[in-house]
Amino acid sequence: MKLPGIVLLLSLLLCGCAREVSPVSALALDREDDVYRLTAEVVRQDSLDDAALPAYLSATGRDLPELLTNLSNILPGELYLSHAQVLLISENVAEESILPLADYLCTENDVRLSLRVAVVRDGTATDLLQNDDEVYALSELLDRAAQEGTLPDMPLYRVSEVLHADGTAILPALYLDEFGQTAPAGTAVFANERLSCFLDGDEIGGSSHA
Amino acid sequence: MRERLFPRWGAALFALLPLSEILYTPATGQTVYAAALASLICALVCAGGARLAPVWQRSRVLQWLLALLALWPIASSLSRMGIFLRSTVFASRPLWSLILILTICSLLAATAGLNRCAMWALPVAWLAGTVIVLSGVLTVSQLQPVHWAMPDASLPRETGRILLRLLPASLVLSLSLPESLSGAAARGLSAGGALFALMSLRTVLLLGVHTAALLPYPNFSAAGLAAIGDFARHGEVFFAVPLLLCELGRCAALACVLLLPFSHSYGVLRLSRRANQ
Repeated sequence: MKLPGIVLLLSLLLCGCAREVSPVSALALDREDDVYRLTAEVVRQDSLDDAALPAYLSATGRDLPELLTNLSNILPGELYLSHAQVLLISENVAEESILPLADYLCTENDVRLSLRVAVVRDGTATDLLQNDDEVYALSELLDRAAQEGTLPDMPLYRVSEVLHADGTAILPALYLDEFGQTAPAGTAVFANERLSCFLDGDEIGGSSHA
Repeated sequence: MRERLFPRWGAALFALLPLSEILYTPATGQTVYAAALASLICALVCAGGARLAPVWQRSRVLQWLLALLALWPIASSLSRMGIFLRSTVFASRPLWSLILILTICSLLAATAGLNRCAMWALPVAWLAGTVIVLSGVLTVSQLQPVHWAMPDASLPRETGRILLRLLPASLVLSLSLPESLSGAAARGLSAGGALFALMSLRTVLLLGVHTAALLPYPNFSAAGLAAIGDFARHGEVFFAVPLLLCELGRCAALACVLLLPFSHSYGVLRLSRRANQ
C-alpha cells in the first residue's frame, strides 16, 4: 500500500489550476512605418452547435516578442500557438529581412515547424486573413496547392534553412481576387533575406498576377 | 533460487543507454558518424568491462568505487530530464519539483533490483525502437539528401562529446553486471547506437544543419513533423515518451549500482547481507 500512496503524493506535485487556452489557427503580420500589427485567428469553441468559428484579435508592437506578449494580454485565455498552421506576411514586412522572424518562430517552443509562411500581394495580411469565415481554410488551400505543385512547399523549417544557407528563398504568394476570394498569386522570391520580386516578373506592389 | 540476468535482458538494458541520448544530442552533419563511432567504442569497452565484472564485484572497495562513479551519470540524467520536461511540458513547474519526482521514480524502480530493471528494459527498448522506426518512416518523403555531409575535422570533437555522456554510464553498468554478459552489452550498445545514428541522420536530412542548430532539442522537434494525415499531428509526444522511459530505466539501473554496496543483492532491494545468500 505504500507504493501507490507515494505515487499519488508525487502526482499531486504536477497538479495545478490550468488556464483556459486560446488556440490560434493562423496569424497575419503587417507593418506601418516602424510599428507592426499582429492579427491572430483564434478558434472560438463557445458556439451552441459545437462548430469551430474564428475570432480575430490584433495587437501592435515593435518586434515579434512584444507583439506576442501584447496579444496574449488581450486574449481571454493563454495564447496557444501549437495549432497555428499559417503565417501571412504583407509585402511591407517581406521587404525587410525575414530571417530574424523565421529564427524566432523556429525557437519559439509552441510554434510548429510545419507552419506555412505566405506573402500577401496588394493588400494587408489582416484583410486576407479575415476574408474567410472558415477556420483552417487558408492552411488547406496552401497544403493543396503545395501538393499540386502550383505553390512552393515551404514550411517554416525549410524557409529558415534556405535563408541561412544563402539568403535566397521562395514563398507562396496569395491575394484577394476580383471576386473577393483568396487565390494563389504565384511565388515570392527572396534574395538577401528580403522580398526581391514575384516569379511572374511583376515589380513589388504590382497589380497583375500569375 | 538466485535470479538470473538473461542475455537478452542485458542487451536491452545496454540499448537504453544510447537511446537515452537521442532527445538531448544536438544534430549537426557529423552527429550521425559521431553517434555510430561513440556507440561502437562503448560497445568494445563494455564488452571488456563485462568480462571483468564478476571479478570486480568480489571486491567491496571496487563496488564502492563503482557506486560513487554512478552518481555522475545519474545526476546528469536527472537534471537533463528535468530541464527537458520543464522546457516542453511543465513550463510553470519549478525545476526542483520535476527532478525530485524523477529521482523518487528512479529510486522506486531501483528497489526492484538490477535484474528486474533489465527485465523491464526489454519491452521499453522494443517500444522505443518501434516508435523511432515509425517516426523515421513517416518522414522519409520529406527528407532532403542535399543536407548530407561527409565526415570532417570536427568529427573527433563531436565523438568525444557523445562519449563523455555515454561512456561513464556504460562502463559503470558493464562492471556491475552479476554475469559475464560481454556479448549482450556489445549487442545492446550497437543496436541502440544504430538507432541513435539513424535518428540524427533523419533530423539533419529533414531540418537541415542550420535549422537544427537553432533548436534546443532537434531530434524531438523533427519528430513533430511526423504525422499520419490529420491524425496524430503531434508526433513528438509519441516520440518523447518512450525515450524518457529509456532514460528512467537507465537511471534506475544506475541507482541499483549506487545501492549495491548497501543492498548486496541484484534482486529486490533488501538492506541486509542475508539477501545475498
